[in-house]
Amino acid sequence: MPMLVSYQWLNELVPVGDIAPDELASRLTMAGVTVEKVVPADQGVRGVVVGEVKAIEKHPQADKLWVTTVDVAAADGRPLTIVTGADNLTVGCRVPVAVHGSRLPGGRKIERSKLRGVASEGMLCAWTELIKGEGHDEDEGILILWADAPLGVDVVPLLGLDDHVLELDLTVNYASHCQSMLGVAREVAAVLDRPYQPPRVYVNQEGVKRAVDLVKIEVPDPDLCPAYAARVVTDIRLGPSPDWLRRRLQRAGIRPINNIVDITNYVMVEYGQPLHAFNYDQVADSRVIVRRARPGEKLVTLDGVERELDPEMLCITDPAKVLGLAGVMGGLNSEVTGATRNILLESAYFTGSGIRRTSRALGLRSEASARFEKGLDPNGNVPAVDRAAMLIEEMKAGVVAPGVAEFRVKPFLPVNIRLRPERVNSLLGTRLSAVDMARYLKRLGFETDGVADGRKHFTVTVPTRRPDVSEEVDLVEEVARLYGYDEIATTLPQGAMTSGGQPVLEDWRVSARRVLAGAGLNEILTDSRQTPKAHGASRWPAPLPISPAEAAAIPGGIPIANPMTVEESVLRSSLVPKMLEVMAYNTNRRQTDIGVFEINRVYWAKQWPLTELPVEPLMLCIGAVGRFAPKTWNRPAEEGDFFYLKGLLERLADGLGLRAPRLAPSNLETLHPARQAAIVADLGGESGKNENGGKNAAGAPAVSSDADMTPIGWLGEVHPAVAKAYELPGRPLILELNFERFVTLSEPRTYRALPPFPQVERDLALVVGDDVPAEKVAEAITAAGGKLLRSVRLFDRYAGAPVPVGQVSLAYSLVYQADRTLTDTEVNAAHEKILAALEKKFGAKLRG
Amino acid sequence: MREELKRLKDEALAAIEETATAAGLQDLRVRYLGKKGALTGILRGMGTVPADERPALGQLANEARDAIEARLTDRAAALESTELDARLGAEKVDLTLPGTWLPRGSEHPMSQVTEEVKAIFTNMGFQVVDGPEVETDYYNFEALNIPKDHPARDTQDSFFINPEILLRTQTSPVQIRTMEKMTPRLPVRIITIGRVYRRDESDPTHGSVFHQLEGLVVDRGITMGDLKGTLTLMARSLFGEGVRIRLRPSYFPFTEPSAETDVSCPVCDGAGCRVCKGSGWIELGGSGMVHPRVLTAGGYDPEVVSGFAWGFGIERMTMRKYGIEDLRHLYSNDVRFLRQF
Ligand SMILES: [Zn+2]
Repeated sequence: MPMLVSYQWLNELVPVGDIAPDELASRLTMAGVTVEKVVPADQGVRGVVVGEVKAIEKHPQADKLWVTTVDVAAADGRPLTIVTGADNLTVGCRVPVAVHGSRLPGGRKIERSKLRGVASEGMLCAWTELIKGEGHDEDEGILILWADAPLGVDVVPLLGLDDHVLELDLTVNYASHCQSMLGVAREVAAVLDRPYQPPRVYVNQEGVKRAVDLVKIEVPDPDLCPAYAARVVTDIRLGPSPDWLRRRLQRAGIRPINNIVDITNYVMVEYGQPLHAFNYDQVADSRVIVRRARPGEKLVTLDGVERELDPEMLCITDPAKVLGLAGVMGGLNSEVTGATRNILLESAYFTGSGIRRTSRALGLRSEASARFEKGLDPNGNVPAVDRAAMLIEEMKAGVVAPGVAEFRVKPFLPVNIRLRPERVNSLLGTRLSAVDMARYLKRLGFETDGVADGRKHFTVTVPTRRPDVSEEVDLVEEVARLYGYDEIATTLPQGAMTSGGQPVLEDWRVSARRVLAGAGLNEILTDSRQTPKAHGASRWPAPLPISPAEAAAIPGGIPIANPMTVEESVLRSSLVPKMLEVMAYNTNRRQTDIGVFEINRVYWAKQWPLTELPVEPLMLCIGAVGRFAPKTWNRPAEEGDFFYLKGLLERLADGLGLRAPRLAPSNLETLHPARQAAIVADLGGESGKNENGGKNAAGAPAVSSDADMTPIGWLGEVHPAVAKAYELPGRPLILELNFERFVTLSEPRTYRALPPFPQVERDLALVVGDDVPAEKVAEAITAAGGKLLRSVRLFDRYAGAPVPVGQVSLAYSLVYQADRTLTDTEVNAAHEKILAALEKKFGAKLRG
Repeated sequence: MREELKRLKDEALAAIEETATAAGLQDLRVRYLGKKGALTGILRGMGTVPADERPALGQLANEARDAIEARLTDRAAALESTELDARLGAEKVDLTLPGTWLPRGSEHPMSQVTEEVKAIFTNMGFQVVDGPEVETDYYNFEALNIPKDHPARDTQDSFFINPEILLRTQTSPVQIRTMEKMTPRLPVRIITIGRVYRRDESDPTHGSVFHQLEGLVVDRGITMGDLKGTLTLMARSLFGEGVRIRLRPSYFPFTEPSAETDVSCPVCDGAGCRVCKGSGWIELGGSGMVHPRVLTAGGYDPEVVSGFAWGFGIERMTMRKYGIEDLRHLYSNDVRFLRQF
């Protein structure tokens, strides 16, 4: 419910007529009262003029149509012939005429036409055709204007449509005091430094029975209702409100109903104070008791719904029953109807938090409850009810009993705040004088005392209508915005030099991103929330730091108590489910060759239910399917397989300068049973290093016992059953690892002087049983090669004739190097030693 | 004999000129300069020449040898070059064929903008820090001057795990966590970038999760002018030298004075265009002077130090940078989208 401000109405409260609505809007916005948009009240109506109906005849061809002759005081003096369907015309009445070329709301253009064979030179307009949504009924007929409306004159100014509505988007702190025409006018006056001219309120004080004789106010729960005022109006006469009032309500977005309701709404818009009218004769014992509901109490509210109340809800009651829900909605039993003779007009200050709780609990929100929630001026209720009384008298809608029956828990006094001019300048970087500051504050209606240049501070008295200003720093902002944020000079922070930087993990993340993008993968970014079923569907494990029983309680991830949709209802414990979804999303769109990665957080509860914050480790996930290199005119296509994925892992480790992680057998349900592995790492310390820095080309670190190895992730081909569930074609690949643990394998890159002596390369082609892991052979070569062997690289693997069935040929390229020129004899000896070791360990034979 | 030498030389030079192959040149070399060659043959007749003529004749013979030798070398070089030209000419390829395919991946546009922003601030001496996305009520609200029942809790409707633990609605909790760690050291100059969550309906410019760039500076004598200056520097690095920063008064519980921060439209320089929807300005997010209660919660004395802070959406900056019209593209993960970056 945005605050809608009529420019014309505003102009009565503060002179702004010389400032165009758009200009006013931008001045206000720059002072903190954001104007979301400015809407012309005429809705684009152009060229509609006053005409007088001179003659009415039946349409020769249509029963329900009339042919009228209308004088619009045209230059040529010729009257217009216009066909209409309305029944409410009489000869001599004056009506709005949309002549040829005129425009109606939404740009609808009116042109000459023929209606059932009769030429019509325009259209006679109903209210609903001239203006949309201003509370008139479709069947009202043509709008009949007053008899002396000047012929040929534009109806827009005549009907008060030459107005603009400023739609405010108020921040929380301005919401209370700018939620009224007077509040906005006061702001405008302060911003423009112009006089603020509120209406003068005068109420008849004559009458036999005074309000205090007619009603007793009792407030046993003043914490929720610190102030309450009521007036009594007798002999009310319900009827329509005058046009000016209806128009203003419409501009404010409120539908006119009848004079009493309209007046309460008008005062709410004008003063920001919600009022409520009760049927006075329904108040038992003439006693109004404002109290919390009792357990089990019920009320049928004005919308006809019976509502069960709870003891946190504030009610307006009499000794016998509940009359209404304070600030939220009245009860049906005390509704003002055509039969009502006397009313009680309530103007209360309810605390915002109490109203919010009630309105939330019942799901009821209204203009009134919204205003209470935002906070009101605790001293604003009496002036508002006085204003309503004055309007009732002016409009002869009833007889106002003199005086106000009132409860006030304590006097609400303005706040005195000590303001140090030096403080203002040091926070803003300005050089304003105390006198300047005081002048700005006075424009807001704040009083100042003890202002003098050279004094360390002065006192500012802030009226109770500004609950948002409660301490010195609030005054700093008030000074700043009236001075103008734009006027504050641009400077840079002084002070000690600091060197910037980022956490090491963030550096790693940047590098990893670069390496993987360099290897041809595209980085993705997925939501951290997913459906609870997603994790189970992926069958991926998550090594949560909680007990199996706790993990079983939250199988899908950490649940969000109030999700918006089930698809976003748990925090994920792995990146894999979303990765599978992203691959499926793309393959569904015929993007069948993809390689993507994500480095992001997952969420692992340390216990369930949570008593402390979960851990949020950074994980790295790779997904690929199809070809990683396309077929081109000079190269064949290359299909991604397990070794492509393993290659990416090795490239990543090498690119980051990490010890190559090792693979170990694993049995994840997500993955192909024979083509998957756990990524394991020795996180303990320095073991697992060989003299090549753990990074020889075969990726084979020196032997370390598998018992030291901790899984930090898994990789493999996706199990066909899982791929099918995600509708993934081909042989998708997936890898996830704990990035934070992965990067602990880092070791500094070290420089080795280039050897001055030539290296010797020898190939070694072996035949071994096909169940011997190639990595073990490489490890054995490294171990047997001794100091002279610098590197081992597998360059060929072959099975099939002439290699016997059950055996495989492995060919390695070995590099020997020493701090001298090696002789053939030395190299041959080393080579022989290696072969002997392999023969002994694996039964390996030199391939003939 | 003189005549004989001259004739031999002329004949040899002419023959070299007419020879088109390396083998032919070799034959000529043997024929004229070889041990049994013509020149040697003539020199053998030197004995019949009177002794006083011999030196002159010897010189003549040497000149003839040198001339033939030089011509043979030149001719050989010319022939080689012609042959090479012919061979290379035969190796012609279609230059319009595509280059050999090499893999090229991409970093997400959000990552690219994040890195750009981090570089700007680390160059200005800011430290990048990190904080949890799942936060306590204390850090997300209480310590940021948003007590229970504060209306601002409505405008940042949150996702809860339980009544005390929620998904952070802003990156500002990192302000408190950082100050707690740093106090009483000065200055504090940090940024943090991360996900925040709000219960907003998703549309082209909003989502219930987005990334925020939060910054905080605390020191003695920090002013609102410094805030303007720092953000101007950022905006100029990011959007171009000509842009300006505009602050509009606003409200955030954790800053006072508070401001909405706009940058002048880099496309139209404030005149109004399609990119800025005619306003001439593009919203970056909120900023302001750190509220005294927030400084106190972080362990600093607001009477001694002051500070400024801001929180901008990375999505919006990314959309601005690349002209992406719908925020949801950033999370679609369509490879056809990702490959454009
Ligand atoms: Zn623009």
